[in-house]
Amino acid sequence: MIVPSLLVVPAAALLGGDPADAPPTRFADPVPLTAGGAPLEGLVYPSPALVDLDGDGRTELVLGDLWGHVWSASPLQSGDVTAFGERAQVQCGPEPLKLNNW
Amino acid sequence: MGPQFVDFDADGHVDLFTATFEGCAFLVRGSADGWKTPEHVRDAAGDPLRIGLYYDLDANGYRHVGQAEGEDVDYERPHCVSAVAFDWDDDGDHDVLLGSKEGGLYLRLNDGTNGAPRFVTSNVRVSAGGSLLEVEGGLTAPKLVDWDGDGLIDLVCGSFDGSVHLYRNRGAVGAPAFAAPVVLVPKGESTDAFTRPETGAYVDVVDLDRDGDLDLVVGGFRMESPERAPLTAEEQAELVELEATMEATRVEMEAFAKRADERVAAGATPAEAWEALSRDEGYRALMERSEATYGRLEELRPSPKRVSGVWLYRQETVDVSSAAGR
Repeated sequence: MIVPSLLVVPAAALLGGDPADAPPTRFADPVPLTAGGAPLEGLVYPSPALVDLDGDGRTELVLGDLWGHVWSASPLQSGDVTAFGERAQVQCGPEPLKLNNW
Repeated sequence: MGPQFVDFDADGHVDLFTATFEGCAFLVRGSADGWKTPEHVRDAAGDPLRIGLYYDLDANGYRHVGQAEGEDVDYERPHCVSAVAFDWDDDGDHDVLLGSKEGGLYLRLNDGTNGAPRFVTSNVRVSAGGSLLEVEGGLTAPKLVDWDGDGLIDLVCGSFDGSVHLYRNRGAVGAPAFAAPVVLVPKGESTDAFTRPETGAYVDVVDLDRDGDLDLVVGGFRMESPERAPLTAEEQAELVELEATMEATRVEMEAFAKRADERVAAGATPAEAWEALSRDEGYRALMERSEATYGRLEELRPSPKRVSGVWLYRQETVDVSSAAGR
């Protein structure tokens, strides 16, 4: 069910997984994340993980893709949590990290 | 893929744990020197953790677990495409949950320790709401999170139909019992504007905006048909010719494939047969012609393209300040 600016899931009424007194889970309209100022359009089956990879206290965006590559992008200082720096492939030694696919 | 970052081997370094469409679970160990070479995670019998269907890189083809010599591949077997580590039975080590493309979730218990794991050799399918857990549209990857702050780890699962589902844990520590799913994001529908993941939803759950509740970050894609100006008469004629060339190329490729099959029948391994094929000058010339033809065809008649994106679904539920992070 869509209402202006909010996506509302009447959780308790749907499938019984929410307690009856739980407030419906609401999300704002989705906002695209960007890397290097551009939407993340080029990956096949992007699978995100938000994690502090380098231990600096800030959350990096990590993305796996269908081919078994892994990418990361650092957060910007702007305070916009949807904006990240240029994405780069995670390295395994001198080579890009690559997991077998098929 | 759905990467999970966890100290899988308890060596003090965060590792990357996941599975790919190959059908097996992978571990990429972290170290002071960076990421190590990916390796399969194996069970007590030495086999990679998988469910049913998997890709055998040596044989260059799909197989299923337990496939006998000469037996046809059973493509109906569940196909592992995701893996997450989780101490299911609260015995202090990482067990593994394997997600299948068809929507099921499977448990592999670890009878060892994190430093010396010993995964059992059989999968147990996980239930939810009194029946087998089956994510509608197929399971991309599960994420583990205490969604409601009750001290129990819940499941949040993306689906290939673009939806995201929450399975609350109504069991106990060491004995998870998942409730029927709640839809957090409904399935995707094709619209004029690409404003959300329409298919292939991989999700992470994190308080990205640090306002005290858990948000969703969802990757996905949709197919878009590129616009192109109408073809001129000359281009139309060229298109017809190119399509005929592609058809002839297809027939030639089938002949090469048949030759490879004959080598296998004569005793070569599939890998050896394909290696021989890749060295064949005629085959290589054919591949070059095929690529050139296909490239020009794409210019004249572009096929639909996959366009992806990653979105933040900021939670705006009232009064969920008790929700905890991962």
